[in-house]
Amino acid sequence: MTGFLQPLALLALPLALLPFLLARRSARRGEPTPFSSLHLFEEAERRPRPRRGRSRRQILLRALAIALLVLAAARPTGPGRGGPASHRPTRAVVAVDVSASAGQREGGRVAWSSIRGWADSLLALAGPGDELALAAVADGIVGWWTGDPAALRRRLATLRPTARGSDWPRTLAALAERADDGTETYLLTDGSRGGAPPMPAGPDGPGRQDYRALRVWGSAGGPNRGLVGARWTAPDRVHVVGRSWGGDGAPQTAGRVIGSVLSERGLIPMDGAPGTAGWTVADSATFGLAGADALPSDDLLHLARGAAGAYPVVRLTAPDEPPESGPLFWEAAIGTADRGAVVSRATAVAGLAADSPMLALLPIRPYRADEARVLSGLAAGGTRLLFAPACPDPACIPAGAWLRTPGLEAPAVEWRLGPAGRRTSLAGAPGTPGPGVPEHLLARAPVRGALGVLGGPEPDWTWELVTGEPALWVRGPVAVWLVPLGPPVTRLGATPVFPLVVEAVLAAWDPRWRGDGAVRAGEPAPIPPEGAILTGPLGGSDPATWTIPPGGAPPRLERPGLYRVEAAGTTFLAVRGEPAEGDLTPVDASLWESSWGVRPTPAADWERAVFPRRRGPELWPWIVLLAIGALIAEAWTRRAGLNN
Amino acid sequence: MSLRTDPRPPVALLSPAELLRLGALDFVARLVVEGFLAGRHRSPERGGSLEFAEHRPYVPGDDLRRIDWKVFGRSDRHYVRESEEETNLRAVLVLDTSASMAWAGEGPVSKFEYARLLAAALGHLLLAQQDAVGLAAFAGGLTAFRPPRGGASQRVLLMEALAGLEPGGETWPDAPFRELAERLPRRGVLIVISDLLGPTERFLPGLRYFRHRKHEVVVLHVLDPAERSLAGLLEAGGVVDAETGRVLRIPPSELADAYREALARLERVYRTQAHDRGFDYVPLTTSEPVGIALGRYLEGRRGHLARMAGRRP
Repeated sequence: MTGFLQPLALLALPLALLPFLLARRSARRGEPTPFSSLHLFEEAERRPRPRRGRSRRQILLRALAIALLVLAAARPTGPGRGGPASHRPTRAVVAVDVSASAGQREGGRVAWSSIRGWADSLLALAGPGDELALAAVADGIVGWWTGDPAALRRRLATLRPTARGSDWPRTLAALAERADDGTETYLLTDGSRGGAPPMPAGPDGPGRQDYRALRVWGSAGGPNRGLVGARWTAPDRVHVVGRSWGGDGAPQTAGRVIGSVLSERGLIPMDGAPGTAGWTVADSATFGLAGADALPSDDLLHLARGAAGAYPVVRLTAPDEPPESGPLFWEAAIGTADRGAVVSRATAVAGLAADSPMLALLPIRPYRADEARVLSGLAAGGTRLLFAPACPDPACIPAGAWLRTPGLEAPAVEWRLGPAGRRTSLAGAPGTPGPGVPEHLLARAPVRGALGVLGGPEPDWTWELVTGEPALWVRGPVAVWLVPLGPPVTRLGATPVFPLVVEAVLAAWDPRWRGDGAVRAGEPAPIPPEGAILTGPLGGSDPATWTIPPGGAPPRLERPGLYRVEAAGTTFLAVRGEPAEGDLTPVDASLWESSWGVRPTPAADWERAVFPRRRGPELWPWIVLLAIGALIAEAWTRRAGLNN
Repeated sequence: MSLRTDPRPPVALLSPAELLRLGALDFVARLVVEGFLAGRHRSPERGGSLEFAEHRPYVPGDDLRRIDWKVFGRSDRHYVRESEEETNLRAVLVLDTSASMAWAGEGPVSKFEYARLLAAALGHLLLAQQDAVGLAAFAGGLTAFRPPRGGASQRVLLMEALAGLEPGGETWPDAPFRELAERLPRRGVLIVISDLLGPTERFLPGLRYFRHRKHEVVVLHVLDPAERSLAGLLEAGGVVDAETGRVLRIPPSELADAYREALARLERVYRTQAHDRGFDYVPLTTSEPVGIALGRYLEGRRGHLARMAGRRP
């Protein structure tokens, strides 16, 4: 027996004393009755008391029957979990962590898959009478949906990790504002610290009674695991992981050095000494921005080229994709270039044509005939179509031909992942118009390999991995990026490869977009020379500027954001990353409890912990049977007493 | 030959309450006996004892008048005829009239009424068999005594005496039993009708004394059904003794099991003593028809006589 659905009924348990009280009252108040002789009674009275027990057995049986009936009225439940009907309606919020760290991948498993699976099983337990809300949380509540469990499960299936960091204090405060008393709140997270350092418990904690937290990610974790770029750069160096593109002329070519440094104190000590191969940093690097709201939105990314005008890039997203309050890092990086661009999002193919984009970034998926016609029209108008895997799952890859329209040809692809230990080295194929594939980046990517091309038209040109598999397939206005990237952000537009791919695609279309190749992506960044100027954080308020003194060390960049390094006609971008998603080390359970008032529930106990009011099968029918048995026994005892 | 079609039960099988509603004790007792005998295919007009009459070889010392000369004429041997006159009983109905006998629980009549009806029926039966019947009543002492005699006048006197008995007093049978034994110089049958509710030490010495005086003893132990089941008493807060007025303030429900064991023990003692001391012990319940009780008495009696015959050298 694990609980009661009507525990108040147990208040009637003292009724079981009634038979004793009545017997006592009867014994006190009952008048002696005449009888023929006391002789036998007096003999009986001299016998030991236990031999007189039949009436006491009757009283005990009556008391037992009453107690059992009261117990049955309290509707006890057995171990296990009952159906939705076995509990009173529940108000619950299922909060899933969609912060960037939820996309971390280890050993072929993605934390988000576990989070979603647990959340889905939780929603599956709900019944029609329950009031449920699904919340996507990261650095706050980024999505909130209510409805019946089936609708919420469908909604859950569409959710993906975002590029946001975690902010549990803020998230918990927001949840507390939305949830009434008695609402059960379930937090499903990969369990990493997020951006918030441990903090003293607030007035609501520790001890948020109606909160259950499950850390679904069981890997050892560690700093700089899994995030975009985090594994793509050496942990102790700032690397060049991309470069900008531009038109003719070196002044317009902006090399971009993007790195970030994470330390417990959130500082980037660029303390590399001149003459060394790179900047040595105190801790490892991560990408991602908090406070990104201050940066330009990703509504539009215009690739500006001189004064000729803007060339927007449009990214096609799912209609129900959670809103992103800030730009993805790389989009932001592009946006901060002198002649940057703004990436816009469209939720329908028809909407891609709104800004006559220079480049449309689309997922690899089957396109209907009407959609294909729109794409043909865009291509005829000069828009390059760049298709890329929409997610790192095989389910995202359609089988067979997926783009059928005159003038647009794409290969059939299949999901192939290279062996975990494979290392590739890929330079741009001789004669190819673009830069080399950043193989050294891909080699460090948790998701490796590429989609395999099964057939279809011959490409105009490709980037090929050393395995012979293409990384980028280009034919006419269609380019297909064949490398599923991640984690966690697997959209091409959110990866550091994006600028390179864009450059390659655009360069194939117009040689003026080809970069000068002075800086290879992934190579150690040049040491900021004397006189180099650091500015940042860009896009935020009150950016500061430092000039590297002769023989001096770079300044400590304490505020998160983008920093520009300008030296010798080259511009690099460095990132002081927000530690929000930089440290994936699972936070100790006691620290969770002391900091946020919620003690994570071990996965083994989760099933018992959720929906605490929803218990196992009801036991009252059996208890009623027992009570009837007790009454029968009482009657039998009474009758036996009369018959003897 | 005709089949019996009357659906009514024989009179002997009517309940004691129904019997008593039929009329006076004498009339009712006669009905019971006649019904009882008819039920056993015996006619009271046949006369003769229910006991088996026999012939035995003549032995020196026998009265010559007892020799059956008819048998001698047929067999040329001397046989002595055990005549009916010689086997006539001298029976005394010994009735317990203590106050406990007046108690009626679940039974249709009180134990006293039942015992009186039973005694009247037995008196009728025995007188019809040409036996001599007397009456004694006891409680704390011998409250009534009528020596055994036969004949129609004795029946009238007996019934009048029975009708005049009133229950009362405490049971102390030892002294009245001894007094009764002293008043009966000749051997006979003493039919004791009592509830035996009292220490066995009060009853058994007297019963043994009867046997010592060579009387045959039949003990008819009459109890009310409620005295066995305690029905109607289980909710009471205590018990008041009908004879002494003493109160036991313990709910009978608490003592029910032990009470029943004590009763069983009491019956076991009398049954054992009956076996060891050579008297008959017949437990009865006032819910039983008197005819049934008569049958049980006579069955016991027949068995007793058979045993006695077996012991005879």
